[in-house]
Amino acid sequence: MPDTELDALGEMFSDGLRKAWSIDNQMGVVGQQYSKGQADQLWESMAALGWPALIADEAYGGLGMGLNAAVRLYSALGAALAPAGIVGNLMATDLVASAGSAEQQEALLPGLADGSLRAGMAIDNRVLTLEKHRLDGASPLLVGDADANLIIFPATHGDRNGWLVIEPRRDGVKVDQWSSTDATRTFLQATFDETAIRPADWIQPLEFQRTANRLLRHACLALAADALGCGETALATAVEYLKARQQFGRVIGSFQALKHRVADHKTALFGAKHLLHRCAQDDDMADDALLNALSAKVFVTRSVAEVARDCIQLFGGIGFTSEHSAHLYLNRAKLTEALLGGNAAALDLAAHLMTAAR
Amino acid sequence: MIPPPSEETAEQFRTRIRAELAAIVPTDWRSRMQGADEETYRKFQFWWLSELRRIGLATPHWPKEWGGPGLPFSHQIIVYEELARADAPELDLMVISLFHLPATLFQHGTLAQRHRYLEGVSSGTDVWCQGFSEPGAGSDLASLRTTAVRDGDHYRVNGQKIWSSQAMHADFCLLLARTDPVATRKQAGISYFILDMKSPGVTVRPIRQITGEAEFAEIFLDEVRIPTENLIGAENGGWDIAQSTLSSERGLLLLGYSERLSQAYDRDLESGRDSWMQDAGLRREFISFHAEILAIRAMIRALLHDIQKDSARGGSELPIYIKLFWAPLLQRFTEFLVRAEGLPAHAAELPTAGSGQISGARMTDFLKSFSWTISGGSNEIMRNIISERFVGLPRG
Repeated sequence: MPDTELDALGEMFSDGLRKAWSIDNQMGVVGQQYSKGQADQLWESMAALGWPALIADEAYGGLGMGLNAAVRLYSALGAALAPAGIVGNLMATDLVASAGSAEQQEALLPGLADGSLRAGMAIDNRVLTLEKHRLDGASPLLVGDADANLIIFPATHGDRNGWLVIEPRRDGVKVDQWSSTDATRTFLQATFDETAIRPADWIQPLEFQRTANRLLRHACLALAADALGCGETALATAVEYLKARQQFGRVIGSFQALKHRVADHKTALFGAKHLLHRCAQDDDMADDALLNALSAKVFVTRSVAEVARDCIQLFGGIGFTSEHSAHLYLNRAKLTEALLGGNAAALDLAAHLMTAAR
Repeated sequence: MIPPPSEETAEQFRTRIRAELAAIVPTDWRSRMQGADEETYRKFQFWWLSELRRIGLATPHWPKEWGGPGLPFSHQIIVYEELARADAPELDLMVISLFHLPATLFQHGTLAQRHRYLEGVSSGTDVWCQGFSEPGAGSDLASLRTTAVRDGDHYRVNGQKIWSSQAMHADFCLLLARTDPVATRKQAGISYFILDMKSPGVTVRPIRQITGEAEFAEIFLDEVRIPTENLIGAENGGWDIAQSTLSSERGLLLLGYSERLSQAYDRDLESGRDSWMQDAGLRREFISFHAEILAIRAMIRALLHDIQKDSARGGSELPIYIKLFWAPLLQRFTEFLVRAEGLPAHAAELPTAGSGQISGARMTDFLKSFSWTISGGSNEIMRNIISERFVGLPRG
């Protein structure tokens, strides 16, 4: 899909979110999350617009688009400070479509696409180990809404490696919201107590590592895209303020000390956007696809965390109050930076891939 | 000349160019050029241009009607990727000749000017320089004070130019001079000229820079006569011409440089693999440059895409963002390598002429990076342009 069409698609996502999600949903007491009712309403709007169906194959009721289209959706979510549960559905779609059996595809893809299934999907590849077909301990962090009716995460049992797809109501499963400093998104964590696992629960790709890399790339691009939208909106709100706020008898945006910082942020975000869109176009099987996505995740989330930090400083006192939205962008950006084991770990993996490949 | 790419796929084109370059790039050119005197350097540059001409790549970005191969952008990109991959010498002497002059004449020159001057560049006889900055007009270029006064069929020019790259080698100069000293806007009184550097009254004095090389010069103009047919565009219309061609040409020039940077990055990975790459902090810092190099390459491709669709769009926001992304990136990267390599990076080395931005002499490359953060509109000027023109913040 050419860039111009992807740009138009991104605009469409932003328009849709402007109608379906208001920043007022976030503007409560510090740390207080949007209500379940608000999240459900958003989910229904998105399902009605066909967004969960974005990357599923047309045979399963999907729109058949690629990860580069999903990246535009993720950026729109970040820009709107919207909950990101849909990332769980699209990553789950990616997993099932690329590694699921025919029966699993038949059973899961239509529901993931029409929004009746809501997946809490592991955002990283930390693998849980089963003993005697039973599961104990805590899952990795799952991206999904509180109402997720499927949870999906990597696991291993003997010489079996794959992903488990489990309903949260099963005996011995407890799914909690992970309460974070980012009040604009929901993450889940499941704990298991002697949970029985059946053979049908497994999605088992022929090559575990290849699927793990595919999902890791998806997660990297999703996080980078979310960050980009978040950073662009944060800076746009700060710029509006710099154009209006007066001190010393002049608009503060006329001070070079401030406007040069804005120019640096604009430039970093401009580069981040081109980098992200470039990496989203990589062929999934290309040698450097994962290396590029990891690099993009690190660069974009680092740049945006810095932009969001400076936005509070540019706002001055008002940015330090909880009535103002500036901190929401910073909290979201800092969490995005920390996800996937943090950027140092991502760079170490990138270094490993780079030195192994060359 | 290159055959039309119509029957050749992009990959076939790449394979052929790669083989042709491998056959002509001298493997020892860096050692030959290290510490080379000016005459040797000059000869080598002309020789290399003639070698490139033999395989049809002297002016890969020029249209067919003016002696270029008329390659689509997709193929031009391949050419610059392959020049970088082959570690071919850079035509440092001919940057203005090969990039700024044609961009100016293609868009704003008369047919007679194109006929008169382009051939001299593509056939490898002429070197051009640029006379823009003055001692009192750096960032505030529009305040330039060199005057050109109409006198019958010529202009009489007086003043002083500075930071003119390669002026001591140049046959011609793209010159900005004031033709209307009382214009209401200072930008509105500037004209764009072609100056023959052999004209009486032209004196050139090289400037030695912090790398030890002398790539720049001052030009003194004392009652120099420029014929009226050497005016480019309209009288007093020079400012807009200088602005538009400068920024769009930078894109093409940077295509080559960023491909070189990308190749150098791979070489540095190899050379550091068993030494500083073992340090986790340095390794992470190095790896993080991969994203930035990808980003700048993606931005430059987007610019080329824009120029191809509509040449005027190349003069829009992209080139400014590209420059403010590129210059600090090059500076941080070259500085990083100095730090990573430690003491050996500081050992005195004679500069290697024709090695572009990345010679491998770490301190030299780092020092040289200031030419990007200062010249062609300093970082600070780029920040003014972005914040005022693109973001809409008020002037101070």
